[in-house]
Amino acid sequence: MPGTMSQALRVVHLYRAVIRDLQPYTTNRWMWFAEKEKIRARFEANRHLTDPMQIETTLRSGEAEFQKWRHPDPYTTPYLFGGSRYMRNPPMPADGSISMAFDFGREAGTWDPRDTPATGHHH
Amino acid sequence: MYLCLFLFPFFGFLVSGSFGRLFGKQGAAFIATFCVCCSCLCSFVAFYEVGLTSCPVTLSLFPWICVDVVESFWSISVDSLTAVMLVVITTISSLVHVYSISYIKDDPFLARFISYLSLFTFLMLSLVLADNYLQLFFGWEGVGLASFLLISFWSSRLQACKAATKAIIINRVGDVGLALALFCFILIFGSVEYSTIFSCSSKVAFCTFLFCQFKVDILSCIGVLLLIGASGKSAQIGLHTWLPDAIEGPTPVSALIHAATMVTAGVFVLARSSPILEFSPVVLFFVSLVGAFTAFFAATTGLVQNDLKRVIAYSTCSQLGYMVFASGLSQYALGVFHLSNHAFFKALLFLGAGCIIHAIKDEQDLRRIGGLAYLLPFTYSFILVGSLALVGFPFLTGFYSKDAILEFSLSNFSVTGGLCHWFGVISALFTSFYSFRLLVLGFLGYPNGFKSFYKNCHEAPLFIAVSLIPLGLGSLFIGFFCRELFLGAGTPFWANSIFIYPVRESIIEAECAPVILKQIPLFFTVMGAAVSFSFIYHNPIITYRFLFFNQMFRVFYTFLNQRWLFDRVYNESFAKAFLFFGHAISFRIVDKGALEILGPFGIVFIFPGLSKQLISLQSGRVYHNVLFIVYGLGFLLCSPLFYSSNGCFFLISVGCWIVFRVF
Repeated sequence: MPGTMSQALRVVHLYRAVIRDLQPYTTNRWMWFAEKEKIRARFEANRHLTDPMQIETTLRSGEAEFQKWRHPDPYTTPYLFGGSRYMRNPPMPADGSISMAFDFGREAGTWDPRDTPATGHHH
Repeated sequence: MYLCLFLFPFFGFLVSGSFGRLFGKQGAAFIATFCVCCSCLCSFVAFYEVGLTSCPVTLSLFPWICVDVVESFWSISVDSLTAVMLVVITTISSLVHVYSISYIKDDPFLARFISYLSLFTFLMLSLVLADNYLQLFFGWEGVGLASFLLISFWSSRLQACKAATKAIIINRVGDVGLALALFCFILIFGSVEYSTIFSCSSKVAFCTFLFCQFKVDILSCIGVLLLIGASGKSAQIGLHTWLPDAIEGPTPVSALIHAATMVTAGVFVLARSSPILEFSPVVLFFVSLVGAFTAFFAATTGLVQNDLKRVIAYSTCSQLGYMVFASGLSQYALGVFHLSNHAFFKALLFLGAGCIIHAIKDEQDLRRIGGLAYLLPFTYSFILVGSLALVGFPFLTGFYSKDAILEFSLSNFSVTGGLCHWFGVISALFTSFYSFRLLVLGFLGYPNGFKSFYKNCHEAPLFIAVSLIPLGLGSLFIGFFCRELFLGAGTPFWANSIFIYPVRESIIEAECAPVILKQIPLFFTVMGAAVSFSFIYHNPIITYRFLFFNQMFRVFYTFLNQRWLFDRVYNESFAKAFLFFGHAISFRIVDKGALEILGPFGIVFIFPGLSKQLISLQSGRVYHNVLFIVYGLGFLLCSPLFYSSNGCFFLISVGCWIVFRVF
């Protein structure tokens, strides 16, 4: 009998987390590719397991090992949460409830003195 | 001219800050930049007049605070020390203004940003142009405020707001030191004027006074307080944690404030207060020790940082340590010389880092940059020049000041000097390592970033390039041209702006030191570069295996990467306690408790009850009214007794009224 669905998901999550966390350790992609293969081989070595209890034990040891070896300074993509560009001048709501006056309303195409507040331009 | 020099940036701030809507963001930026450039031209003229022709200038503008014996004027005082600072501040500020026009051009708040930069320049000028400690304190607090505004410029970013708050809170700790020193000046000297304090300092040397019920040496107490102030602003160990986080601000801010100008205010204050520090060997010992530890600590932390700007920020912290320990060894001129040199090459490095960040869509993690030497050759050239100047490559700018600091520390012939020398030399090794690591990972290594980031990678636009060129030239030649002027034996340049106790002069010993000893820093620098190239460029697999499989190395790496755990310790021990005090006691018990109960809420709850009681007195019955009339008449008749009996009668009357109310 194969493992449960939640265990399969946990394995996938663990694998993805491990190879993502491996990136900051390696200073170039070739090293990362090589090490990724080794990690994959370790996962593949346990592919044959069918006993849920044994899978659980192996999974837990893998998760514990991952926690132990996590990089102290993980990489963050600039535009995602925690990145250097995240929420820098965030876009205005799409429903038009708030609009931003770029260049104080003086750049071409966005400001016309004939506009009134009723037309939706709020300067 | 001196007034124009001082007020041009303020005018730029007013125009760009108040009339940004009228002129448009580009217009406001150009006006503010023009104002600061004019101020820069005036600074060069002032440098010629004051520094080269030895004509110090003092202008008293108007009285500011005149209380009792303390008289403080708004004034402009330019001596050699101030002239050097003026040139550094206005030159870097002008170039950063020019750079920002292009760098921040897509931001809708360019006018506000430029106005903050101009405000900062004005406040920094008021700090260095002061002729008294009170005006200096005004500028000191002002630059802290400008720094806060600029770090939190992208106020929609949580990290930026946190970094700005951290910067202003930690700066306040240092400011308390400077404020206490100011009070001591008023207490001891009865004045805040430099001239009065410095001329009297030798008279109070080794005298004592009561400070917190302890008998302490006057000048030592003042010196320690000044050191605390300088440590806060110049990010010395213990109060440094704000500086690496301040990189959350836009890159031009990092270049102007957190590398070239504001952080050097602490070194400036130490040099300015040399007539006080020189009479207190204890303080000098502490100053040199704090500086040496800072240089070492920051250099070790910079070794393993992965954020491009954070590496440069720790490098700044380390170089500030060099300046401070040079001051501690009584080499104030050397400290200021390194300050001016450092301003050029560190501004160049930060602005160059801005070019990289600008080119590859705000990526600033060194592990995701690489191969940029082929895509950004112009930027690479300038960052290479800045890095070589920083590590003290022979005949570049850093070589003439950093190596001189190490030479002077060696020729100090004291335990402190030896300690500073070896901390400085080891820091030079680490500086070389992280500088070349930055070059290797950022420019020479394999491109590791996302393809989309590299797709539109482009070289610096015109305004950015124009601002890099003078800084690059400065990083190459300033040290060579100014060394003899600033440090030459018997140079008259500094006149009396810096005081060194004659016993502590060690220029002859430094000049005559054996050449082999002078070459120690260079040897360590080359070694750092070699180690960096071999482990990061040629054999990265070794570093990887060490990091991944060696537990001890990993722990050590984590310790350095997490900045010696300073932030964690501060958060656990201080921040939590202060937050608890701030919320539970200050906010809930005092503000929302006592003050509200004794204030508006208390009035709201008490007065309805009192008014109900007053209403109950008005019963409408005749005999009640007659009673009140009789009682009031009796009170009026007996009022003379009130004055003669010192209020006893009044108390008796109140007692009678209460008895009447009860029964």
